[in-house]
Amino acid sequence: MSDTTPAPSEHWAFLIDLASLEKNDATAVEFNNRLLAVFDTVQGIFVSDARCTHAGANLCDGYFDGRFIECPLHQGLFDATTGSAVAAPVTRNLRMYKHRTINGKIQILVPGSRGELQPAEKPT
Amino acid sequence: MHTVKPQPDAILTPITQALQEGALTRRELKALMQRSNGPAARRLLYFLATTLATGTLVYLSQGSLWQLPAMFVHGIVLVHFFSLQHECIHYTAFKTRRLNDIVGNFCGMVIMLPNRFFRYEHCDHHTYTQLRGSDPEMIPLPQTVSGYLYYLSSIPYWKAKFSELWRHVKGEMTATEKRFVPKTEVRTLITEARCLLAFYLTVLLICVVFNWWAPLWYWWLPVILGEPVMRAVRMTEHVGRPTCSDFKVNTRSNRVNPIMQFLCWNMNFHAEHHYASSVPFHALPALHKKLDGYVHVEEKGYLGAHKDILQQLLGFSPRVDSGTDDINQQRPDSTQP
Repeated sequence: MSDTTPAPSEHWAFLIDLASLEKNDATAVEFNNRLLAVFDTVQGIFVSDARCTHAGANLCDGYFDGRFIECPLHQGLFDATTGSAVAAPVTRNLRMYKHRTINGKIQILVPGSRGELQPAEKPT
Repeated sequence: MHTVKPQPDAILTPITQALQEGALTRRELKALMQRSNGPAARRLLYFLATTLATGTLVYLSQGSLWQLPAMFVHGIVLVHFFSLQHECIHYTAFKTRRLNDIVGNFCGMVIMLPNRFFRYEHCDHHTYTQLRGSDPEMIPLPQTVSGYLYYLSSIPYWKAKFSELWRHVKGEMTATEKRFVPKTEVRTLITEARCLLAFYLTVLLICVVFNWWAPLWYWWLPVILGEPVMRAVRMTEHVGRPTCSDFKVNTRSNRVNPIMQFLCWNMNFHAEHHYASSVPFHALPALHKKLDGYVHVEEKGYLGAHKDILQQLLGFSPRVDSGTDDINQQRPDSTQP
């Protein structure tokens, strides 16, 4: 999911310093009026929408065990490395974003023309 | 800067609000959320020992005048399996989800509360706490003292629970239930209800065939006798508090004696639980200290809460539902007034 070569209309945009992340936890970052979650997982860094797909709670305030993030409101569960909805009441996956880390800075892929964030994979 | 659509379904949860207002720090919250099996395993051991002890009281009192009081005491313990089940459906009692599911289902079997269904219903309760027409677990402030006593009798509770179970056994769900049950889970909940009914009927059949009525004396009758105590406890959580979405006021924490706190698995710290439902029961006393002055605490405990409720019923203090404070705070899809 990292170090993807951008298409001509895309560019990498700075998201957050690696050193500013909550270690082994989820960090909320506002980017272009959108709240994103940067997960420091046992498998590395992953970036997703921070809002729960069930009721919109900020997932970064939930319990994180290094791989799974639990919604703080209803304890629905997502796999932070894939965005998969693991346990109801969440049924829709999280949108994940392409990202990379360069010189201690986390960047995400942003299309240049429309400004929409680039999902790492289409949510199902 | 780029133009993107704002996330349309963002809501401000109570814990995010508490963090933003500085009631506690993220580091403190994350420390309180840590899961482990030890505290729940120890308390479960004590809880089962208490159940065994009160069950022994029933055994020793057979045929005497003490049998009914013994069954009542035993029933008070049994109905508090609800408190453990509540902790399990939040997945905070034990470290793993599987263990929470196993124990939660066992508790639900004891008190006839299907575990998975309760989980989804309770999710909506946390989303729409105290909002009329939206909170599926809301206990309305009774209009009269007789209404108050009728609720405490548990008759309306059991009527609702039996009809709910039967409805699900038949494969039916109400419009309200369809609001909070994920479509992908409907079949599971119907199967759950059928399994629960099949289990009870099997036990009943064994009782009849073998003329063995221990489940009646040690389980069903005590639960019926003890349920009014659980109804009284549940009333203290929200009844008589403002019907609005502000968790600083719509939920009541109660300072109770150590015995009741043990039985209810610390859920007397109910406002704290609503602020951070991912915090396990054993960390609620610490969260209570952090949120001191931030949430509503009834210093005189359950009795103080019922005094508050009765004063409103008898007109000694204004009813909290006399205004229209929650009219504009109902869920968008609510069809009720």
